[in-house]
Amino acid sequence: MRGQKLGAGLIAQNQSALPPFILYRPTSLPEAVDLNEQHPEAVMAAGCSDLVAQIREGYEPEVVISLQHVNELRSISHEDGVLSIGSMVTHHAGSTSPDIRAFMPALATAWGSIATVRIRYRGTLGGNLMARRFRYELPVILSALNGQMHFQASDVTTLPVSSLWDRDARSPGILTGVTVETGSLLWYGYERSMRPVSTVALAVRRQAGAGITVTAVCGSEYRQPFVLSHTAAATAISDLDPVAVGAVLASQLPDAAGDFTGTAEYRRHLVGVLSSRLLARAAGYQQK
Amino acid sequence: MTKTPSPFTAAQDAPIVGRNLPRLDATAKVTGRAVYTVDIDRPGMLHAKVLRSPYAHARVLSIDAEAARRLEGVTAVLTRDEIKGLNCYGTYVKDQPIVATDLVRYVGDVVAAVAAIDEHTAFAALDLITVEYEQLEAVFDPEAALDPSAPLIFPAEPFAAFPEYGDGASGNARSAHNVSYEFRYQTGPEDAWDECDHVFEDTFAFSRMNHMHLEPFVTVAEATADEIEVWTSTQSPFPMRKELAYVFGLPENRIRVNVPLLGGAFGAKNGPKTETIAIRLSQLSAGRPVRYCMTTEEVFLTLSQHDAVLTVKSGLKADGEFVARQSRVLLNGGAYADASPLVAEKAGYRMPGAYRWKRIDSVCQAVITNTVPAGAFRGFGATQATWASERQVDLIAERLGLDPFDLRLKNMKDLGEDFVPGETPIDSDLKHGLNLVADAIGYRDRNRSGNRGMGVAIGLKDGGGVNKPAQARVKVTTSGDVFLNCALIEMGQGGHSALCQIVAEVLACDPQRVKFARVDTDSNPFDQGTNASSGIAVMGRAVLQAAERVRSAVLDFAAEHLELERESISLANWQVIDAEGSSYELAPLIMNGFGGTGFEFTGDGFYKARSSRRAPLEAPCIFWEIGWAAAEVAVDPETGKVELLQLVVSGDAGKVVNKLGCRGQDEGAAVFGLAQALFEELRYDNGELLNAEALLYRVPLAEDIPRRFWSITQEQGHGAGPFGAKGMGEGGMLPIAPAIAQAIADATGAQLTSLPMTPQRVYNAIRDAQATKGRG
Amino acid sequence: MTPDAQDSPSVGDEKLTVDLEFDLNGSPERHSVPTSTTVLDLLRNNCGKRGVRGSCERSVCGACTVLIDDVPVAACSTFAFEIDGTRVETVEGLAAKDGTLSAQQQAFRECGGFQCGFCTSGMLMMTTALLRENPEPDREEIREWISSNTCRCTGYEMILESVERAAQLGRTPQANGEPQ
Repeated sequence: MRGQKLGAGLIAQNQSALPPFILYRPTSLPEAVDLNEQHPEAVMAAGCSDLVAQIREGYEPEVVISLQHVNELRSISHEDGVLSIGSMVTHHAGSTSPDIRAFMPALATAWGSIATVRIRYRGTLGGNLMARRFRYELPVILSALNGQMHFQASDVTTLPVSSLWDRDARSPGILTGVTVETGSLLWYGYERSMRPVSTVALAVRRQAGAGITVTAVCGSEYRQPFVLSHTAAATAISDLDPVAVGAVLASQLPDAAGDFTGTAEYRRHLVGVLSSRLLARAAGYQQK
Repeated sequence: MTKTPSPFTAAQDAPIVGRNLPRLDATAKVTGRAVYTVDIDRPGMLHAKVLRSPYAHARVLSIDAEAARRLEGVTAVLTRDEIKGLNCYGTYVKDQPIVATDLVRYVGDVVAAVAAIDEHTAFAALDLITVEYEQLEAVFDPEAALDPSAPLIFPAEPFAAFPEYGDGASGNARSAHNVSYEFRYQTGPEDAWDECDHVFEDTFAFSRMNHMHLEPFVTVAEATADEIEVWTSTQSPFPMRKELAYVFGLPENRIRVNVPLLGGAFGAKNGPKTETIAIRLSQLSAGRPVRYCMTTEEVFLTLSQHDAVLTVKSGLKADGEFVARQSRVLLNGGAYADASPLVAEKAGYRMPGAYRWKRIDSVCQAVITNTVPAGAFRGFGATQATWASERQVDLIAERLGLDPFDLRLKNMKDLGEDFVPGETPIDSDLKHGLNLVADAIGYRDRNRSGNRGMGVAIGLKDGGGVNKPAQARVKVTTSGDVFLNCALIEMGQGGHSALCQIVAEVLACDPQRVKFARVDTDSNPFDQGTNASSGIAVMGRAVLQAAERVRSAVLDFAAEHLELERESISLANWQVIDAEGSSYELAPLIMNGFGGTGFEFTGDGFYKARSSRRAPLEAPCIFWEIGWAAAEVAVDPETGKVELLQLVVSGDAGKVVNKLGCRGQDEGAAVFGLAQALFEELRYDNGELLNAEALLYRVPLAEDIPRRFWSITQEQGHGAGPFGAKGMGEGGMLPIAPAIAQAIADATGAQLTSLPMTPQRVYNAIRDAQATKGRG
Repeated sequence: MTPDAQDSPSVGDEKLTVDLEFDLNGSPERHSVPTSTTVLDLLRNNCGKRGVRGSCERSVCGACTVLIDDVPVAACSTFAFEIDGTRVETVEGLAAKDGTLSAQQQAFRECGGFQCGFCTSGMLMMTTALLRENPEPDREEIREWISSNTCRCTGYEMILESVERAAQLGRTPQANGEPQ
């Protein structure tokens, strides 16, 4: 549904009635960047699933730049302790990628658990992030890993995934991909059994100096993901008390996290439970 | 003249009814060739789009649609100015106008509609309409709406007509502030309460779902001032014709309703939805065809289930014998009455549940609120009543330290016992079914370790519609090809196939030879509608009679022409079989008798339960539709998450006509119940509907179904339908939520009283139960 | 860089149509359509494939599922320009030319894996894609795939059984009329 243009009510827009748009189908990233510079109002189209949803909500694109044939955006690589994932990588390709499975199997598992088989073939990393919908899961999964988004215009801009909701909707160029630093990562897990009430992605990293940082991101249906973090003076995950750390993380969840499907109080409890379970799994994993 | 007999060989080695046959619509549906109303395309067809209210309650001060009318490609604009002199619609209470007149009553109420050469132009025209609103205070909660200080949603009293009920029942429109309809039922001596050793009063909340039929509401209309033809996705073509005649002031024989296959309905497609707007726009477009197909988002803003608050007071003796029950049910009827009066009737009437009471006193009010209108929804009235009734049995059992299963059996009605005076006696062995599902999941020897628990529940409803007539016609061509002509709507339940099987059984022919004729009100005999699980038990009787009459006419003719004893011959595979087992081809015989172009034998059938003043609801029900269920859950007490480990559902088909069909009805209904129990709901947050679209509105997927889920189709044989059959389709939904709730209580001690049983509710209830235990 | 379309309509000198060539159920198709056309509208309105059903139209329910280069896709949320040069399959392509039903169709028919039939085309295409990827899926894999689409009627159990039966029929050569 969308608002009527004179404010007289609601209209159930559909994609069938969408006027034609100017369509560009670049075959390389420089070409796509040029087009984006010439048409700053253009929308980047990846898998198009969410674009169509936006059209039903009233969005009427005049210029569409389809990234379908920009093959460099589909690359996945792991170099110098950094995993790079192109923005056009589909959920299916990402979750079955040999590189991701080798260097971050827990990310592959988490990624392969979202949406449905059909959507995973079609939906992309870039589309999932740039849709900026609270209930989509890659922002949660990647924020916990401190994933960085790279945008290409005349310059390159790098922004953390967790900043998705910090700014206005304009993106500083074409999202080319996300990088995740894997060197300091000790453990990662994603708990979605309580979806859509709450999901928790949790990463444990060794700090450069000393200590261990636990980052948990709480996702839900109607509220933006919340990043919770705790650094402990520990040397191994097994030194952490899962319940105590879970409680510290949970206490950081603001009242704004409460919504129709769960009060803030219940969510804090849930995040505490799910975080401590993930940490217990992490400790068990490390002991092996 | 062919009188030469030939040896008869039976083509069928088993009765047609009851066989595990694929449905007759299977090939059309698996090849994509099945035709639904969305597929209807008429030459020169225009497209309709509507403008909906952004406010829950507002006065429409002015509408200016001139710019829209002037837009090229627009053929008609429909506002309140174009419906002057036309009537409002609704089942008992006629309160819904084609488009809003002076007031808009919920977010989504239609304010204006446009027909144009394409959808894009229709949207563009809608964007040119200016509407001035004066916002009014809105009320969303039924209890709040009853308060005399709440805004009155219908300042003027709409026209209402309702049945003359029999013993103990009464109905009233506008009985209280913002009440569209109130139903009351009382039976038994009031002083029964004096016998009670215990009296418990509890309040339960029932949630609201959307039907989410995959085919949206859709109509193609061709209409002038004098004549209307529609192709529409409706469950009730004849009531639709009557309603359209009333709205547009036309004779019924000037209105033709055609109904292709329905892509699901679940009760939603009874009264007008897209029909009146499409028709009026066609009239305003010089009779050109107009297609009005809603989007799924609009379907969410058109009709829902009734959420309800149910307060139940039950009195019983010290040993657990039930004595008296009083209930007050408030249904959230939304902004327009639609089928609310019928739902109120059923919710009030079904409060006794499966149990024996000396005194029953029920009142149910359908309350008008500024939310989406609520109407018929699979199991209606019974879903709400069963949730409260069965849940209270569990609460009472816990308080008295009794086993909930034993307490049920102790008070459960026997086969043949009255439900209430004047009503059809119970026609299933209720206890047998309860034991059956309990044993199926291993209830008696259950292991409750690991926060596991089991629950067993029962729900019932009077089935077959209220005072419902049905007619059917069967005709057979010279060569023995059969037409079944009746207005039963195929919406997924397999009704067309089952009725064709009944005809084939009577005529002893291959079911593939029976064609279900297209449904249209000009050609079909009358039917009250495809609802209330009435297809087999009511229409089936009419079809059976029609087929028997055809058979009889054919045999009369054959006996005369073959000069055989009428009583000695029978019909099989369009041959006449004589007493010696010799067969005679009918086709040559018919051409000999009627001429070379042949003839069609025709038989008409009719069925309706006899009306009775003693029956509370005008006539005794056709049958009792029973649902039994047993569930096993594992609850995570730290999170409140409920995992459904096992779910078994059972219905009593009386006699199975199509096994796959019966199974599908029970399992499909059970999954509606499962969703209602655990997660599916329309979420209203202070009047704002939060999830009125497919992504946010969660319906069950295959992954939500327990790994152990099955149905048991009973054939107890007491049904009033053909061969002892009963209706299916709704009963399976009724006991699911109560069975799961009891299983949660069995596992954790948590007693849930509100649906859906979300993790937060379960978690809180576990904490409450632990606190109570700690105090005790 | 020039836009794709060669003919009117246009905005200024920018063309607003797109020329497409693709394979549909084994036959070549050529169309010139507005850039904003979806695959659902193209298949239903331009190619006459009415077995492709639109329902939620925002890629949730899967009633409109078709295969594009063997991959199941929601036709409602895919633009026609995206299928240029691909191989598209719809429910109409499952049965043999002589009408012999494919293994999937036979199985859904036999096991009652449908009721109203509105989800059936999509369910059959999901089944087709699954069995191509894994001809012998276990119950959990079937469940995961079928969880992509919504059926409001059956309660799913009979659909899961239909897919299992389709796999079984697919392994029996004479029963398999599916086009290769």
